[in-house]
Parts: sequence; structure tokens; C-alpha cells
Amino acid sequence: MKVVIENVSKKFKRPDVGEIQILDNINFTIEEGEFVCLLGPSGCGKSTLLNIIAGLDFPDSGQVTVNGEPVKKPGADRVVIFQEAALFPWLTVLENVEFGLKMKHISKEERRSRVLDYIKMVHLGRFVNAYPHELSGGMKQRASIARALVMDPQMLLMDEPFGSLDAQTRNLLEVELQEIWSKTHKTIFFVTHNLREAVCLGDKVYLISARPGHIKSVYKIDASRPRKEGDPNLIYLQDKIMDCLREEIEKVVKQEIDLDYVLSKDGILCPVDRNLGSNI
Amino acid sequence: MVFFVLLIAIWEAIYRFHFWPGFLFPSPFSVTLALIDGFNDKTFLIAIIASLRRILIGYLIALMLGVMIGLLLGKYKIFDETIGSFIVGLQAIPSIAWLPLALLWFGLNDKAIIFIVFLSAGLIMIISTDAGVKGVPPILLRAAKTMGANDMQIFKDVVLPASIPSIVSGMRLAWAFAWRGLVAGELLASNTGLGQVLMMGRNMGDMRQVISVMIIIAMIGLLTDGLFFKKMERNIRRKWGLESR
Repeated sequence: MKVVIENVSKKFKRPDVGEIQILDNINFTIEEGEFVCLLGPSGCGKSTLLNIIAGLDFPDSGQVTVNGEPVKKPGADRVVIFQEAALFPWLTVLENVEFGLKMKHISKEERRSRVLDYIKMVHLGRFVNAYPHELSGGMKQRASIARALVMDPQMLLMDEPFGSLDAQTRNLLEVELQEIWSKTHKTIFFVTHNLREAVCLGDKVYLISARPGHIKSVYKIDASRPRKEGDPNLIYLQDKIMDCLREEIEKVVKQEIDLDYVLSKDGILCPVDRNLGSNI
Repeated sequence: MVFFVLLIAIWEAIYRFHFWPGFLFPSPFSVTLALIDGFNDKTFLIAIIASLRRILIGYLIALMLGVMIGLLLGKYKIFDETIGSFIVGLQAIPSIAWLPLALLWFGLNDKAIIFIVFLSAGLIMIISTDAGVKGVPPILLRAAKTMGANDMQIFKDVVLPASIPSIVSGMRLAWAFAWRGLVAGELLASNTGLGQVLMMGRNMGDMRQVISVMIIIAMIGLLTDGLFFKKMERNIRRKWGLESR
């Protein structure tokens, strides 16, 4: 699935502060089968852009086309995986995973046979009949990945899917996501604010600036897969991207916290008036 | 259990101190005798059956209409802005205040009381169903949309099941309110039922009978709530993951 994002801009109207420009003239293309990461500081409109591609939100100007067709509404060819797994609490894992197929009016027998394969793919075979509240955060996210994959979408839209998981679960799921991607060759659009994650997963990393968000730079990641944490090539790239990202984080900090704060070169937050006399 | 024994002991103590004369404040023992008598000559049994029949009819109608109207209010803004605010206004009127009108509309019979029961329970059902529909987490709606569900499917497979915990809590509350409406209605305008037997006790100056009926009403309320509604609510909340085991 080829996705073309052309001149997309978006404003939000807030009664208290007026208009806020969220996205400013975004242009890029996601090629068929590509794993694209969108990296940026918090509040820069990453999720808004993902929602626009999903058809859950609409741009004020510009357009998104999917295989040449402009996006008008959400569709099962582009399934979203949210940060909160968004499983239906009244359904078991099995019923959750087959939800999308049920919406497509696929018969129960066929649903069951397809669903079990994907539940096994995400290693939840033992929890087929468990309810979401009985699962850990990582297991919930596995279930929601299976729920998306079973629809056989051409594209997965992942909105900080591992953002609320602990570091170990996160690493594990990153490895498994790469495996799933190499098996299924889905196009993946992965939104994250985690630099390490973006570099570890993506073929390409788009760096989006602080509000108003525009594409600041693009990095092509050539490292071989499966990528593991601690790969020196990746760490070199991380450092390179960090220099660029730091400026944007600093902007956000200033927007959100206080103008008195500056980020030191090492990324540590410190107030300007407490500099241990280094400016004497 | 210990608590109830203590309660009865306090009751007996107040009786022994003679704050009020014995015929106004009967002892637990005499009330027990009155209860047994009442069940033996079938007065209470007939009254219970008559009352239960009314409350069940009124409650079931309230349940069906209440859920239907509540769903409409939750789903369509136009209904919410019109009927919704009207319902909130109605809710401020104690349902027994409708009795004079009900008597004129339906006559001095079961229908008038059933109408009062229906109003008591129905408004609560509407409000809690509406709250359930509005309280569906938006993320679930968005998840369903991206999986290709259309509006009808989202309503049936997401909104409806997601609002069930709220509907069930509403059912439990509505039952309690239905009882109040029922007894109040029967006290004032009925020739059968628990409320009427209570009123008859008052008219005949038989406080033992009044207290007996009050105990019966409380027992039925406790039993239905404890055996049925509380369990149902807890099971559903557990299944939905709203309550830990």
C-alpha cells in the first residue's frame, strides 16, 4: 500500500487560547511494505497525523491518498493499534481478535480458524478465553496486534503502541514486531517519541518538529535485521538524530514548563540561574 | 447477624422503658406474633402477591421503555437536547405527586399504581442508560471504526455492550425506587397490597400490623437486592473488568 501525504496542515480550535497550528505542510510518501517511524517530541501532532491517515481525523488543507484514492473514512485496510490496547473488556481474547472479521460478516467457523493462527503468532495461545482485565499490559498489546493482523490489512498504523509498557516487555515486543513484519510484509507506520525505538524498528525515520509540526529531517536506517538493542551502528545513528531532536525537545519544554529552563548538551534539564558559576 | 440481634435488643429496651405506651410502640415479641397471625390468615400473602404483581408489571415496562428511550437519548443529540432536559425536570418531581392525575386518568385501580411504579423506575432507567451510552470510552469507538464497523454495528457491538454495567446499576436503583413508588401509591389509593394493609393497621390503631408490614417490605427489598441485583451487578462488573476479584 502506497500512502502519499501532500501538503497536510491541521489547526485545532480551542475556546481559551484560540487556534493552534498542529501540523504545518507535511509532505512524504510511505512505500509499499516499508516500515516508517515518525519520531517527535510530545504534543507535536504525531498522533494527529496518524489519525488523518487512518481517516479518523481530517486535515484543514492538503490530502492523504492511499493507492491513489483520497482517504475519506476509516477502513479495515489500515487498522490502527492504539497505545491503550483498546480491547473490548466484555469480550475474551478470542472474541476480541475476531471482532473485525465479524464486522465483515465472515462465518463463525471461518473466523475461528483464522483467528487462532494469529493468536499463536503473538504467543497468546494459553489465554484464548481470558478477558482483557486478566492480561498484563504487554499481553493486551499482543492481543490488539493479533486483532489488527487477522483483518489482513495492507497497512498497520501504530500509535505509540508500546508507550505504556515496561522496558523489558517493550524490547521483547519490538523484536517480535520485526519478526511479524518480516513474515507478513505489511506496510507499517509507527509513531513514537522514543528515539531508540524508532531507530531500532524503522527503515526510515521521519523527524517531526515541535508544534507546529513539520518534517524536519529524514533518516534512512540501513542496519541489518533483526536489529538488537546495543548495535553500535544504531547507537551512532541515535546520537546523530539526538542532536537534531534535542532542539525540538527544548522547544516543547519551553512551551510547556517554563522559559527559564534550558536543556544542557547532555539532555539534562537545568535552570539557567543555577549554573555553578560556569559563566563567571 | 450480630448486628440484627443487637437491633432487636435495642428495640426491646426502648419498649421496656415505656417512652411510648405499648400500643403505640409494640415489643418485638408481639410484632412476631402479629406476623405469624397475618401469614396464617393469608392477609399478608394476598397483599404480597398483589404488590409483587404490580411492581413486576410496572418495573418491566419501565425497564423496556427506559432502556429504549435512554439509548435514543444517548445516541441522538436532538433527542438529548429535547426529551433529555424534560426528563431531568420530571425526575425532580417525586413520582407519588402524579397520583392525583393517575387516579383521574386510570381510575382507582391497579393501573394507577402501576403507572406510579413505572414513573419511579422508568426515569432512573432512562438516565442510567443514557449515562452508559455517553460513557463509552471513545477509544473503543475509534478502534471499532478502524476495523471497518459501520454505525449500526458500532451501536450493536460496542455501544450496547459497553453500557451494560451502567444499565445494570440502573436496574438495581430502579427496583428500589419502584418499591417506594409502589408502597406510597398503595398507602393512599388501593384496596389490596402491602401499603394498603399497612394503612389498615394505622386506621385500626394496630401498630403491630404496621410494623409487621414494614418488616415484610424491608425483607423483600433486602432479599431481591441481595440475591438477585447485587449478584448480577457484581458479576457483570467483574466480567467487564471494572472490579477486581
